[in-house]
Amino acid sequence: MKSVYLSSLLYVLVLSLSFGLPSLAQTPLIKKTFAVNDANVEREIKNLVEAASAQKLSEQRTWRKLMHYELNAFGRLVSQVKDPKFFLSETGYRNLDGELQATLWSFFASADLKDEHAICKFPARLSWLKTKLPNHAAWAQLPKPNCYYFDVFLRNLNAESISFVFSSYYANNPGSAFGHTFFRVNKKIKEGRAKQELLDYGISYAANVTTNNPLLYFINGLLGGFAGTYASVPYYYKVREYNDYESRDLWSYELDLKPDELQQMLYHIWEVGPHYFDYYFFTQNCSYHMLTLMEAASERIELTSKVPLYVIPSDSVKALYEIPGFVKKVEFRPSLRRHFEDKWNRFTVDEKNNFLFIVGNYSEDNLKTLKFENIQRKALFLDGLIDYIDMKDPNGVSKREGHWFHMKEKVLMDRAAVDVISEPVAIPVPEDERPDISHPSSRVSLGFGENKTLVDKDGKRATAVGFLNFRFAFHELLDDSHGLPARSQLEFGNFKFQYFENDLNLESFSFFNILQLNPLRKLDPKPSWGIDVGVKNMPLCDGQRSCLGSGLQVYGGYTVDWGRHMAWFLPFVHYRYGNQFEITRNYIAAGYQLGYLFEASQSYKLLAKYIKEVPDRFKIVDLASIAGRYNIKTHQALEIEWSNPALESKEDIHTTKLLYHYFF
Amino acid sequence: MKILFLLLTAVSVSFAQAQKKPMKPAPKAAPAQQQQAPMHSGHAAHKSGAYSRPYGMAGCGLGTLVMDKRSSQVLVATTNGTGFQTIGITLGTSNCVDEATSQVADKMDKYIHINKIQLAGDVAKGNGETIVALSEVIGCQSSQNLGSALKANYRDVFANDFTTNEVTDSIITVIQRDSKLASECSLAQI
Repeated sequence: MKSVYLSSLLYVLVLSLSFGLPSLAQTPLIKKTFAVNDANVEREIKNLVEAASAQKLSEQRTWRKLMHYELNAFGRLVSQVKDPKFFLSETGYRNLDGELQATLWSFFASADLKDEHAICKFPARLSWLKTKLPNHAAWAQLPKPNCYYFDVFLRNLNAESISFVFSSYYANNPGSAFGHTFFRVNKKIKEGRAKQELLDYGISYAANVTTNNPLLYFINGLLGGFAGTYASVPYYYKVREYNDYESRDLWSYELDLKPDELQQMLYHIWEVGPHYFDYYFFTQNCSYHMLTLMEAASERIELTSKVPLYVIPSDSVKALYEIPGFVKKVEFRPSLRRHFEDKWNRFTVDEKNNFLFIVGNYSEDNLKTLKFENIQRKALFLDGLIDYIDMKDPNGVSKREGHWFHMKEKVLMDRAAVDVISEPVAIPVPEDERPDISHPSSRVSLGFGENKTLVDKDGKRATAVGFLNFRFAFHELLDDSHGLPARSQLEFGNFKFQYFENDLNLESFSFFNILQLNPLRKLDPKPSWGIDVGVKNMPLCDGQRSCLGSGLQVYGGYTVDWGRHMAWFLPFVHYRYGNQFEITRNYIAAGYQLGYLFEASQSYKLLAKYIKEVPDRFKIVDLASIAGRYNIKTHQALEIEWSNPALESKEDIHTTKLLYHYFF
Repeated sequence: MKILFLLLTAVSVSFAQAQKKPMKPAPKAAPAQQQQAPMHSGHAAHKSGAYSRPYGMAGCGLGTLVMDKRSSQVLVATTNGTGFQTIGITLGTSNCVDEATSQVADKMDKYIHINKIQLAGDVAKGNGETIVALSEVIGCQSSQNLGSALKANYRDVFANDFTTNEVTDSIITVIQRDSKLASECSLAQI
């Protein structure tokens, strides 16, 4: 919390400072920032600046986008770039016109500045201003500094086109649970050569995390406590990190950029690249600042207005489709896991059994005891084993330590000794999983039904109630799973209200709710887990309708699946604090959830749950529920749910709901 | 009640065993931090190979990375996988471009250092994307002969705990010893 306090203090300080210097903000014309020797040249520059003012260029949309100006939380139009070096005038972060004038002047500084010259540092500003003030006499006076680094940058990229890359969901790390996005700058392909994606460049935006403390990480991530910067690395970094180390699929969307747009985008990446922003985990995140880069490249590219305030990576992919024809081509790069599964699926039953045996007892002698139909089969077998080890312990393999790494060394030696060259792998594109076809992440739901746990003012049960739910993001088990991981749930900001006798009561608010179901595999026996943090209406306040308790539930257990069926057993602990609870304000319980999900398709689903919960001081909970869902396309869904919070109760106190969901 | 807690304990124990990594929000943050120290120690620890590598002025590019035996840990260090990066290889005018040098060994070091795990696998298989891209880096007409030759020399190139520079040197040696490869690979980027 200290950092929050400090940053707010700093903020007040900065605000008071900026109000304390009104004279700078109102300067009508920025004076030249350096001495111009030639009076004629000086007159022409002045003339150029006046022409820009006359055309009100600083009020144009592209200038705003090049400067990354947006309305801030206080309704002021300021730049999101926090690095003062991004601005050529002192008040550049809040004065568009002053910055434009300062920029124009700076272009005419001495060429001796070389790489520090504004022409080298801000090429996108220059090219845009040149197109807006064409044929102006002043341009002839423009110096020609030697932009060594900028030239190297462009030469390295050698760009043909740009792809927007989506790295799929990675639930094992909360920071990547929604996916991640970055750019790939595709190199020009030389005559007679094939494309080598590995040798392209990746451009990404990320926060510079300065803490290991999860709480500080969370608070800083939420409040912009980390600096965000762009980075440019060879694309093979990205492939090794996401595809291999984290076993995530990569989807690339090649953008249809005109040559001048491509150039402008690269120029802008160069000029904004070295400067830092404030990183906000949910709003101004990696996806948001990928969109702003594209927006700066052209008038026609408008994307940030097409996504909600909180930018989920898959939503940013869908935003690309809001511009007709903007996506030229979709490509898929399978994860290491898919490579392994592809080989595993080609194994015979005997080979699978042999594989299970050898994984636990690898030695050259044991390998010799295995019979293979031919050496091709043996090569495939060992190739699968190599993938499996890389997938099993990516950390150990990269650090060159541990059981799996040492086993891999032996396997590689044995594989090298098999005189077979592996065939190139062709893994079919899982069209069903394309992130651009996923449902939108926000959801509002309306419904009605009866809730017999409630007693009306006449003391009777069986009461008609209304339901109103709102969820910021992102996906639950019953939602349509096109383009999304069907076996996980990740919800953020989920409100559920119940309307009864002119009262709208909060039933639950889930701050975040993660459920990661990992069906058990012989080769990959991962546990399933979940966590639900938020506020919930508990039946613990002697008949009061609103009895909120805040706290969390943590799950850990196992899941099995067969065909379209999946079942899980998840023991959990449950803690809530409520100052109106009857017996004690602290509710502590342990219990388990038995769940069953049937997916008739990615749209039709059935979910049944049984929950037994034993609190230390309160009554035992014995809840059952069953829900059926029909997802109509990606935007709408119908759901019917029956639940009974106390199966053993003699009274019938079930709840029936009919819900209509709308995704947006 | 007691039974329940016993059950929970049992489950959590099996949980801990099945999942070696703790379920912390930023599990990879720790190794990333440890990695920061050697990043700035320059070339001193750099073991020189047989081929020259004039790491130029590539200020914050790969040139200044110490390519030690712990291979692709740099992968963990560059970005910790959360979309949050620990060490910024930022873009910039001052000293942050990956300057193209003319030395093939330098180019190979950079490439091999990050792709080592996958490359070792592909070499054992005799084929694969990392070999094809490598052949592009070192200017070979095709990757087939390179793949076969490296496969035949797997033991010499990868088998021991070699540094990136040693791997690079071995690969160059393999190419130079093989007359067919030597004529096919210019050892300068195509």
